[in-house]
Parts: sequence; structure tokens; C-alpha cells
Amino acid sequence: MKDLARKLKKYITIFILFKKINFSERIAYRFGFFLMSSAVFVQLFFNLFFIEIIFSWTKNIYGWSHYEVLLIVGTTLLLDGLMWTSCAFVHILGQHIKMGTLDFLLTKPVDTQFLVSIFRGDLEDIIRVATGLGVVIFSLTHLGNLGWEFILNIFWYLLLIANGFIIIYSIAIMLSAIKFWTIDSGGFHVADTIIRAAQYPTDIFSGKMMHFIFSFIFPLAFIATVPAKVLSRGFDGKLVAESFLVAGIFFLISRKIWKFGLSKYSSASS
Amino acid sequence: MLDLVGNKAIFFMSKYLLFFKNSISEAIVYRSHFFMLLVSQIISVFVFVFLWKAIYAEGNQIGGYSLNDLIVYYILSALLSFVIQGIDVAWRVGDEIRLGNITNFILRPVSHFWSTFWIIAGKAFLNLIVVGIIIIPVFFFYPEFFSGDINAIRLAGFIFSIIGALVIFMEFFYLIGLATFWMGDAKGFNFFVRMIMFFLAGNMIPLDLLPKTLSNINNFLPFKFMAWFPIAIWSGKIKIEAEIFFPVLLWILILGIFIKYIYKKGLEKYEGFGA
Repeated sequence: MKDLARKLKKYITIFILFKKINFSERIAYRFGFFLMSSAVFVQLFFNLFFIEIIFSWTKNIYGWSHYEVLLIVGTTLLLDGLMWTSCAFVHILGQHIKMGTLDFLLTKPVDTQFLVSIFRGDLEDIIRVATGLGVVIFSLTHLGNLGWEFILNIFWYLLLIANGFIIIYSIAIMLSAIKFWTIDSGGFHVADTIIRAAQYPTDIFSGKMMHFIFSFIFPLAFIATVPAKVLSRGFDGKLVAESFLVAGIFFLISRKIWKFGLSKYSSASS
Repeated sequence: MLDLVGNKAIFFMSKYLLFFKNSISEAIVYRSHFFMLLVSQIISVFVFVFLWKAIYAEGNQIGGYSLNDLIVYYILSALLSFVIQGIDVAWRVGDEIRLGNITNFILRPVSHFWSTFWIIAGKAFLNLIVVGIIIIPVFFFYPEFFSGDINAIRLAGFIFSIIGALVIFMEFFYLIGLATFWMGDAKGFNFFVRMIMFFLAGNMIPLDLLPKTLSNINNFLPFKFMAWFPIAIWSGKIKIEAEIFFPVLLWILILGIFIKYIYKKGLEKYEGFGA
């Protein structure tokens, strides 16, 4: 137990250290940083604008009201932002596998997957986190069911978005691990598209078959729709249990695939 | 005299044809990147189709678009995105300037613009072949895709508008890449403009569904020719007349002049780092 606590402390310290380095590295070129931040801002603006245009044509999407959909959008932005600020490196791993520069990380006395995950973080994406949080709070004030029960809902929501994060992370790791075989850079598009797809209520994929696919095979539902559902409509034991189950299984599978991929890594630099 | 001009033209073509061929071979080597991009476009169409289906299921009517029109719109938008916009011209040009590789072009009798142009054309050509293969199952599973009033003139207009889209896209982002001469690294700037382009080209939503003020501003920008214009021609939203292509040619010309001027100015600033 004591050993575990010491290990945890070590990993947290490494995480904080890396983020400090990442962020100061990012801010070193101020003008570049300013432009990157503006780009993120423009992307968010058009994204939200698109949702507003949709709701100028309709009042509901499969029973989801305007503000409920915004709650899902906000949750996705929050998770997307967290992913980019903490684990941006996962998205560009291919480049380092191709160039052979991954060696540098493999030779450190820390879990490789952990180090690879946190090696890079993009500070400008904090804008996504802040906007996401803002959109969530904004939609909550319009949904207006704030009571005692609501505080409990927030608790479940936080747990569920943690699961959502694990699912996004696991998908990104699995997609990156493919690069060990294909030796190719780029291609974070798929992970990016999946995250972007999670911002619409997954009920739009109607039908039993679709529901199953988007819950368990391609678990978009548990990224943002389910957390938003529990926050706005109250606790649902079945959904919460499924969320933990899916996140756990996905994490384990991604770790297995990562380890298997890593064993296929042949350095290109030395 | 004529003979000499002919020889020169052949030499010009064969020189750049090499860039075209090399670009295709390079794209074939890195197949998975290509495949990933394709998969993400397919997912994206899938999501948009279901989203609009859900909106139509509530009994709404969106602008002058039927659900079928919108599905065709998003399929074409994704295909254009894959064939043309997936190619990051500015990134490529920017890296060549930043890392000093552009020195090779200054020292050799090849134009940097034309080599980049043929490299991009090679990639787009290969992408187009893949799209051609994908369209075959669409023909069987979704024949409505071809249900519009398609005749030889419309098809010719469509092909011309796609070539126009590629040239305008290429010229525009070549210019963005040239900004590296002054910025040192124009990746942020490139990302910024790409985000604007993605929306204002009509990839996310048909441009005639946008608020009037925004479409009016957009009419003065080249973005709509990168996606919306070819799609509107295919789906019959625009009547085919010679005049509709004038703005395309005008933009190609204006951007071309800009490139010539800015490239010259940029080289005066260039210090050849890393070379």
C-alpha cells in the first residue's frame, strides 16, 4: 500500500513537471501561441454556430432540447480539451515511430505508455476546456432543475466524464498503436472525427443494432451523451454501470494493443 | 522557332511530370495515412447523415433542401475534403522554408511553385482514383446520388469547377505557407485559416443556409469555390452558364499575381537556415 502511494506520488510529480515544461515550451513563441489559440477559438466558434443554425430549423433532436444538446457539446469540448492539454502526444505518436525518436522515451525508468501519453500537452487547448465548462454551465442555467438531487447528479456526471475521458484516451492509444505496424505519420483524423461525432446525441443513430454499435463497439454514447443525460435527467443505474464497464474494458484492450504494438517497434534512428 | 517553343514546353512538362509521378509513389508508400483520412471522412458523412435524418424526422424542412439533397451534399463535401482539402499545402511549403529546403529550388532551374503544384496535383489525382472506386458501391446502394438532372454540360461544369477548386485551394494555401518567410513558423496561422476555410467553403453546412450577412461577406472570399461551388453545380443549385466561371478564373489570376509578388518579397527576407 505504501509502495503504491509512493509510486502514485512519483507519477503525479512527473505529470506536473511535464505539463510545466510543455506549457512554457508552448508559450515561448508568443505570436505562434496567440495564433494557435485564435485558431482553436475560431474552430469552437464555428462549431457552436453550427449547433445554433441547426436549432434555428428544429426545436428537438430525437427528444433532446436545444440546451440538452449544448450540454453534450460542452461535455465533448471539455473532454477534447483535456485530452489535448494532457495527452496531445498520443495524437502525433506516428511521427516519432517513423523517425525513430521514440527511443528517447523508451529508455526511461517509468511506464512507457504513461510517459508517451503525457509527453506533450498543448496549452492553447485550455480554451476548449474553458469554453466547454462555460457551455455546460450556460445550458444548466437554462435547464433549471437545480436542487439537492442535482448535486448528486453532478457527482455522477464527474465520474461519467472521467469514464468518457478514458474511452477517448483508449481509442486514441489504439489508433496510435496501429502506427507500430504501418510506420506512418499523421492520421490523428480518425480520433479527431470520433471525438467530434460524440458531440451529437447518440440517439440519432436510431435502431437497436445502431444503439448497440454506438454503445459497446464504438462507444460514442458513453463519451458525452450518457454523462449529459445523467446530469440533466437524473441518475440511471444501468447507464452508469455500463459506462464503467465499457471504460474499463476499453482501457484494458488499449493497453494490451499498445504493449503488443510496442513489442513490434524497431527503432529507425540507431 | 515554333519547334523551339514546342521543345521547351515538352521539357517543362517532363520536368514537372517527375514531381507528379514521385508524389503518387510517395502517397502509395504511406497508404495507412491515406486510409485513415478516408475512414474519418466516411465517419463524418455517416454522422452528418444521421444528424440531418433526425432533424427531418421531427417534420422539419430545411431551406430548399430535401433530406436526399443534404445527403448528396455531405457525400460530395466529404469527397472534396478528401480529394483536395486533406492535402496540407501550407504545412509543406512552410516546412520547406523553415527547414531551409527551399534553397534547393533557388539553386536549381525548377520553379518552387510549379513543383509544389504538380506534387499536390499528383496527390489529388490519386485521391480522385480512390474516390472513383468508392463511388461505384454508392451507385448500387444509393442511386439517388445520381438522381439530379445530370447531363454532359453539367458534368463538364462539375469537372471544371473541381479543377478550379484544386487550383484556388492550392494557390491560397501556398500563400499561407509563404507567410513562414515573415513568421518563422506559420503553422498556427495555417490552422487558423483552415478552420475558417472549413466552415466558409461549405463543408459543414450548405452556404445558402447561412445567415444573409455572412453569405454576403463570403461572396468576396475565395473559400466557397473550394467546396460549395462544385457541389452546387452537381446538385443543380446553380444554372450552368459561362459567367459563373468568371469568378473562378479571376481568383486563380489574382492569387497567382499575389504569389509571384509575395514569393519575390519573401526570398528577399529568406536567410536559408539549415541549408
